[in-house]
Amino acid sequence: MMNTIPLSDDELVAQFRNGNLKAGSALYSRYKNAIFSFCLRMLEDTELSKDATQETFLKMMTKIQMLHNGMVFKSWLFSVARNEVLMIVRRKKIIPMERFDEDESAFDSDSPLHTAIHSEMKEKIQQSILRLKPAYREAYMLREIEGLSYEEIAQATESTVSAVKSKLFKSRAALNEMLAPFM
Amino acid sequence: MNCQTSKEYISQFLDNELSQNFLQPLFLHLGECDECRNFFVQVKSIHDSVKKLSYLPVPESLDQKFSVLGLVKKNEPLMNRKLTVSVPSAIYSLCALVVITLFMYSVGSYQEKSMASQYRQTINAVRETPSGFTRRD
Repeated sequence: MMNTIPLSDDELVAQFRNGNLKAGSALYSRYKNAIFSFCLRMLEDTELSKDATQETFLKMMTKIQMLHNGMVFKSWLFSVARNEVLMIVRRKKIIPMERFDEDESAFDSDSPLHTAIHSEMKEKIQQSILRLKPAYREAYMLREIEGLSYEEIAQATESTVSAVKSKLFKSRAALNEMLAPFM
Repeated sequence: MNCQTSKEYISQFLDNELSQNFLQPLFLHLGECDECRNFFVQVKSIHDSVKKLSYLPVPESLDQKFSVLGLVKKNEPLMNRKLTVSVPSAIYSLCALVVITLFMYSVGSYQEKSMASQYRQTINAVRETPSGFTRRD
């Protein structure tokens, strides 16, 4: 029986840059749900998240030639998605921009969408993640759900490794505070 | 080691990013601090649960858009797609069919007329040719 080893991002990017649309298709299939989930968890709106996801992959198609190191494709793609999210936020003014800034507290105590208490722990965790401020939420999701390294998160969020460490620690402490009563 | 530093190290430990040099001091501290030990257990539990959170699937309409651009294999989403025909598209299709039929009919009848006229001219030419001689142009 033959085992097929999936091509790495680096290999797919190289093929896609040479005009192989199948390689682009494989990259799209590999990351479409991850990018859409990231956008949805940042924007909390399905239609806007679809727009952000669409723009992200259109940029992938048009700007792939500018990506010279395929090894960083994942963090590059998430940085494109993050920029799309920020552009939508600015354009639609759906979340006050200061919520994207960092401050001492990592979560919003008055987030209107997430006050209801759900019975399932998974749901509680989802809701608690949404209560994290965007700057913390994006770092936390990129680490816990996408498995990006500190270095990659720093690249994707135009930040530094020490800032990433700090955001992750504060996010975990905030989640622990929110979820402790249910544990 | 104080509790603040210990909690920061716990966060890095969960990410496999804590330097080996800090492992022993961290676990020594955890051995003697209930608060940090509880923090470790709870944060680890949340960390394990979050790992199990699934992706939210991208809407099919987005796949359809990218299939136009060649980024989605054309037979892939079609497998799950329902065949639906909207009323306006059915009316447009019917109108297009009628227009094409009329066009084909008019082209056919024109060709028929032109062939008939050529045929008549040939017959007349043959008729005008004196019998016993072959007409030469």
